[in-house]
Amino acid sequence: MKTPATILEEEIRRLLEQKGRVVGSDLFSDTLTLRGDLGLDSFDLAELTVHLEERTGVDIFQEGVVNTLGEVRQRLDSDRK
Amino acid sequence: MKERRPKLLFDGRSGESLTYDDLRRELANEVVFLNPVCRPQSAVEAVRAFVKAVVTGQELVLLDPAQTEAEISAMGFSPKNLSRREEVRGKKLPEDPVAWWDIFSEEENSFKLTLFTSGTTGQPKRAVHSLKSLARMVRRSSTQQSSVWGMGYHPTHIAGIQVLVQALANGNPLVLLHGIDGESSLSLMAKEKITHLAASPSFFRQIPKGSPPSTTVRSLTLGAEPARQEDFSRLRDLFPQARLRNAYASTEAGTLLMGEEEVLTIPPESKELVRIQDGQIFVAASAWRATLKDRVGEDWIPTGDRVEWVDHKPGWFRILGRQEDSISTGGWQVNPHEVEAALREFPGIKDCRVYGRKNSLLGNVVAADIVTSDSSKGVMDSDIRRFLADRLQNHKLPRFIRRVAEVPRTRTGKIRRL
Repeated sequence: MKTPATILEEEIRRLLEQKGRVVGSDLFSDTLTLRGDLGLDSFDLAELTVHLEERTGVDIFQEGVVNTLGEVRQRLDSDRK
Repeated sequence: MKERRPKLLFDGRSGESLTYDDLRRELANEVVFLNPVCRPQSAVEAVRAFVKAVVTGQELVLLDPAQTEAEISAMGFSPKNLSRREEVRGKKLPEDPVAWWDIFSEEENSFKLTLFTSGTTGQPKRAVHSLKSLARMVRRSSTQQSSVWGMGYHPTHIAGIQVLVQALANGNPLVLLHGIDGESSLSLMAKEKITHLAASPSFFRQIPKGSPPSTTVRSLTLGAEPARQEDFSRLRDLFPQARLRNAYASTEAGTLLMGEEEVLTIPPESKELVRIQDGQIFVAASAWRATLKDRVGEDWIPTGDRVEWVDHKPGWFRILGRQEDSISTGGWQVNPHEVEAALREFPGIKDCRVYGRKNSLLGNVVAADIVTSDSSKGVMDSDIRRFLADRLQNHKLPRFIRRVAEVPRTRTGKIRRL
């Protein structure tokens, strides 16, 4: 089974490629911000949420705003039983 | 004398039929049995109940065959009423069905029809019709007598009732195409020599692209949901000899608007009943035959159907869609019909439904269920996204795409909204 970290990486990669961006593997540092560094707008973030929710059952924005990749990873991990 | 086909209804799905003569004989009996509250098991049963109530001047409550007993109770009827039978006096009708209409509409016919709106959310609303309100747009003429009607609506729905009344008024046969696939309905149209068609845009979208054109259909009326220009351009290829029209009806008021292709105007019959205000269709309370306890004192009732002017002066407009269908996402309103139209342009997408999926960030995100053709199983979401991104604004793009075997539909062939 895929770890939440792998799922997150796949989903971020999919989103960025969809926006026509080439993504290297170095792009997944925990400190990167979703909006500033990755350039995701609120529709992208909503898309990310829906897809992560579908695959992991976790709504990353349910407990309030998350800004960095690290925070998203934490949310996914903390909700895992 | 011209040979007349005796069928009143032929159900293309079940193969059942009902002839004008069957009804004439049944109604000629001393005593006729009626079900005043009817949840028909078949289309034939619905049509029989309707005609019997019209001829005998009785009241009929016609329910959706899919309505559950719990729903019926919630509408204020005891499910016991479903088995109630009433005896009324029969009536002699002429052999020629063309002459029936003169008898129905002679003097004050006390016939009343109660329907319930499909209401996707909350309580279904009650609408009560007289024969006069149902016949507002009916056309009778000697040329109409040779028409053969085909319809994609179930006869318990207002759209289906309107077609049934039109067929009855001229003694025409009516072929039910509801619930059969696009290819079969095309061949049935040819076999039954259907000249007049009435169905929803969704019904025609199920006819495969590139099908051989129909040679019999002379008139085609779209209804029950907004029709788009793309629908008409496809229909021109499929039905090259047909005059293409567009009707707007509501369960409460019956047919109100008619148009050539997708452009509508308010016809003289509806001048007092409809007006456009703030980009929305309003219907006069007097046309609204529902029991409107909470509406007393209001003259005009908003329908929630949004329109866009094509040309103010002659009063031409087109319908954009239902307000309640629109998806609220991140402060934007997205019209699902527009997104569905763009999706259907994608080669390999046979059918689709666009809806809002709850989201903690934007309220809703635009989501789509798609049905792909067998040859397009390998289509990637990213291909669809790129295709749509060239056609739609960012906020209208489906953020979640799901593959499904079929899209659920209502009695009018419309997409069932979530």
